[in-house]
Formats: sequence, C-alpha cells, structure tokens
Amino acid sequence: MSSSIKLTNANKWLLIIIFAPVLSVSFTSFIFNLEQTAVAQESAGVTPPEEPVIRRVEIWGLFYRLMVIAFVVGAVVQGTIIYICLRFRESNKKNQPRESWEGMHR
Amino acid sequence: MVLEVKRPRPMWEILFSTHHTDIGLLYIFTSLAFLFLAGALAMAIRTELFLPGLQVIPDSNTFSRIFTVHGTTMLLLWVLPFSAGVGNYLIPIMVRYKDMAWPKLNAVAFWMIPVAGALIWIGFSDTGWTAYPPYSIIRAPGPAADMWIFGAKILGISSVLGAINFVVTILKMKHPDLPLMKISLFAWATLTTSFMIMVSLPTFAAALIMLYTDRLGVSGFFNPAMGGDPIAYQHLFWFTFHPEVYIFLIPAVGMLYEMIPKFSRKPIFSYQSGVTAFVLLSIIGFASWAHHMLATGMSFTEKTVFMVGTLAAVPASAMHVFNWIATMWGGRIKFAAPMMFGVGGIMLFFASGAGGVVNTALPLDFITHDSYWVVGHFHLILMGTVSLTLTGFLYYLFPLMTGRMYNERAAKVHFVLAFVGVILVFITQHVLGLYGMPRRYFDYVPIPEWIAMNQIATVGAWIVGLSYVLMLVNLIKSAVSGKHADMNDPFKIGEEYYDYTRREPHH
Repeated sequence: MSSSIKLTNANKWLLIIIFAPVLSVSFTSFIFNLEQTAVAQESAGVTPPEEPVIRRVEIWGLFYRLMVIAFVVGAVVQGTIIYICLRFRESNKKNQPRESWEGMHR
Repeated sequence: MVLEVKRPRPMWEILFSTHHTDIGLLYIFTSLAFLFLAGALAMAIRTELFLPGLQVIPDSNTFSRIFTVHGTTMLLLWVLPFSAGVGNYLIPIMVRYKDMAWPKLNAVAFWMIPVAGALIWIGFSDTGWTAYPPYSIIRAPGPAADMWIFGAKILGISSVLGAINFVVTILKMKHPDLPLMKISLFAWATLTTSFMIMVSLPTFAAALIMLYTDRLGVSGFFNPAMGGDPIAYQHLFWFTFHPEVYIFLIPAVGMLYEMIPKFSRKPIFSYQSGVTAFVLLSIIGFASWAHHMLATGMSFTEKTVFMVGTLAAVPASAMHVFNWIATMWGGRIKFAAPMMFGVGGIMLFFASGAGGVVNTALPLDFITHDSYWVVGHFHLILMGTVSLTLTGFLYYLFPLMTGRMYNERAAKVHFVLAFVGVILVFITQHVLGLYGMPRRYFDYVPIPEWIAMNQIATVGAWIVGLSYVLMLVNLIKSAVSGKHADMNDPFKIGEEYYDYTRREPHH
C-alpha cells in the first residue's frame, strides 16, 4: 500500500482554494501591522500624551514603505518580463526552435 | 470573416445580417467609432489643462459635459462593445457551432448600442459618468441627464442580452466532443464575464429607474430633502460598476491568453490556473464595491471588510501575470505588433495594480481620494492594459476580418508611441495627485509643479492621439489595398490561425 499522495487535478484545485485566502489574509495582515500607529480612528486614551501620533507623518511614512515594496516587487516582475523579451525573442541567436513544443498550444 | 468579406456584398446585407461574424464586425466598427469620438474629447480635456486658465473649452459646465461623455463612451461604448464584437467573431468558432445560440437576439443586442450612443452623445450630460445624486436628481439640466439615464439603461439591456447569448452558446451549443475544460481561455473569459454581467447589471438598472423617478419628483430615494439617501445610490452604482471593472478587464485577459502562447510558440503554462483565476476574479469582483466609497463615512469594520475584499483580487490577478510570464519563458517569441501590445499591457497591468493596492489601504485612500492619483490609476488599467490589449487584438484579428495584412512597421510605431504616451500621461497623473491636484477641475492654481506635470500629461495624450490616428490610417489603407494574408498562418509563427471551416454541424 503506497502512502504517497498523488497531486491530482482535484488536489491542485484544493490547494489553490486553500492558499488563495491564506495568501490574501497574510498580505492584509502585513499592511495592518504597518499602519498600526496610523489608523485613522480615535486613539485618545490609548496613546500616552507624551507620545503624540502625527497622523500626516505616519500616513506618508506608510505610503513610502508601500512604495518601496511596490517598486521592489515591480522591479523583479518587470525585470523578469524584460529579460524574457530579450532572451527568448526569436531573433536571439541562442534561441533555437523547439520541435517538441512549437505548434502544440492548442 | 474573410469568407464573407471576400464575396462583395451590398452594405445593407451586412447591416441587417444576423450572422455572428457580421454582428461582430458591426460591434467592432461601432466601438472603434466611439473610441475615436471619445478620444477627441480626451484631447480637448488635456489641451484645456495644458495651462491654468481658459484654453479651448469655454466654461466649466462644458468641461463637465465633456468628461462625462468621454468616460461613459470609453467604458460603455468602446471597451464593452469591442469585447462583445471579438466574442461574436470567435466564440462560435471556439465552441464549433454554426452561429450564436440566438442570432436575432444577437442582432437586437447590437442595434441597441447605436441608439444608446446617440442618446448619450446628443444629450451630452454633465453629471459625471457616475451620475451621483443629489446633483444628478436636483440640479443636472434636462433633457441631457434624462437622455444619459435612458442611454445607460439601453446599454445595460443590450449587455444582458449579449451575456445570455454567450452563456447559452458556450454551455449548450458547444460541440458534444468538446469538454468545457478544453475550450479556449478566451471562451472562459467570455463565460465568466457574461455571468458577472447578468448578476451585477440589474442593480444598476434598478438604480437608474430610481434616479429617473427622483428626477421627476415622484420619489425621493436619493433625495435628502425627501428623506432619501444619496449614499444608497453609490452602493447600488458600485455594486454594478466594481464588478464591471473586471468585466472590462477579463476579456482583455482572455485575449492575452490567445496571443501570448501563439506568439511565444508554446502551450499555455497552466490552463487550470487560468480558469481558476477567472472564476476567483469573477467572485471576488463582487466583494469590493465599497472601496470606491471609503471616504463616505462608513464604519471602520465595513471599510476593513471592503479593503480585504479588494486585496483578495491580488492573488488571482498575480496568477494570470505569472501564467503569462511562465508561458513566455523558454519560448521563441515573435514580436509582431499584437504581441508587443500584449506584453506592454502586462507591464502596465502590474503598475496599475500596485496603484490599486495603495488606493485600497485605508489611511492612504484618504490622501489619494478624488485626486489625480485615482484618474491616473484607473486610466492606467483601462488605457494601459485593457485598451492596449484590445488594440493588439484588433491587429491580431485584422487578417480574419479582412483577409489582408496591416502594415507591420506602422503598427509597431503605433505601439511605441502609445506605450510611451500612456506612461507620460498616467504615471505623471499619479504624482500630480500626490501633489494634491483634485480631479474633475476645469482650472487649477498656477503652482509650477502642477503646470509642469499637466504639460507632460498633455504632451503624452497628444502622442497617444497621434498613434491612434496612425492606426486608423494603417487599418483603412490595409483593408483596401494591403497584402493578401496567408489565412493558414498570417503571422508566420508556424501554427494554424482561426479556422472557420473546422466547425462540423452537429445540431
């Protein structure tokens, strides 16, 4: 009796359905943690008077942090696309026809 | 369809035809006509904003009318009909049926569009394309606003009829030997979009009736003076129009799934993940409508729910992007004009998505709300991703429609100009928003940074406009006297093109 779990199509779908919310919630929690001190709600009584929160500064701080993340992820994704366009264009001499793939996408 | 076009026919035969390719042709012609009309309005808006003060538009009311009709036309008379036109061409071929399920209903759905377009253009309303009350019910001048309401209503009915036809054609008329999980991803895109239209549009239809009766004074649903609530309209409106964002986007995504594997000469990396992402997006699209209203005084809990709902679209969108990247990886990519538009659209898709994440983060929404950031964000997705992809697909379908090839060099120049122009306009508008410039304003304070950025955006808009004029000339000239296309493989990529004769009759 084999104990291995086969990755069937149904299992793949299951994994996608499980992980999609997990990823989205993780992403959201990350943002919540970032803006912990900048929630645009009443914070009187929670924040000690000696540590005032300057919302404008906090919110712009959050903006810049998000922008740093966006630019880093963007650089990776867009850099990959540019690399693919250059490396895998048909005019690149290193790129030979692949008989096993071409004409197979239908 | 080339077979029909090759045989010269009188114009009325196409106009009164119920054949899916003729209807598709009419949809595409009409949508392109409206693209150029609304584009002309965009040029007027940007030229007006080149400098502070009055430039080319006489007054602020005319400015409001222009951006209202520009927005309504671009969304409802360019993007939607173009996608429906492509669907008309390809869906029966993809499911191997002789026509759409109900050809006459198909023709009726199309012929509502010119009528609705005429109402919107002759009325030239000034309510903004959202027609928010109380302005739209109390002060907006009639009959312009009433004509806008009826135009939007007719467009809604047309979309629902078209959607029903697509769903029945795909699910009931597909060849019995063709499993649903083998149909093209463009057909999946059309299927999910059609379901979204059927679920979301009735809400807006109801809102329009309420808006009209409020304007007549016989009801006060949205009139605060009669105990109504203007915010209720915003909920009804965005319940339709946030899913509508995905209704604009998903067909373009489906078109990318047609072009990317073809021009990469590779199979799609993961068909299943493409289908999953379509289904996820079509569900998640309904969970985020109120992020357009985060500044309307909702409770913190409500806002949080809609923020999370909005962010939930990120994984599904990312699945598409990674699917395209993985499909291109290791391929042998031919950069014909359609592929260039496709890849350009994908690059701008990421940029506009990142802007959307900023919009939906609660504290940040308050600094970007109603500023040019928002204008830049939604134009980047609609012009940068959706319209560029649609344009690429127009080039891709050109041999199928005319039997001729367009001028490839002119098409590539079009892409370069459009891509650079779009970046100049809409990325600049993001920064302009951060500098505090509000949207929908006719004039602005002469702050040097604002003037400089408005000028960059205006020059970008002129470049985009020029590029589309080039496309128009190219397509007209090529349709009349272009080289005859090799209909088996017009792009010389070693794969078969759409084969009209492959459909075996089975009903």
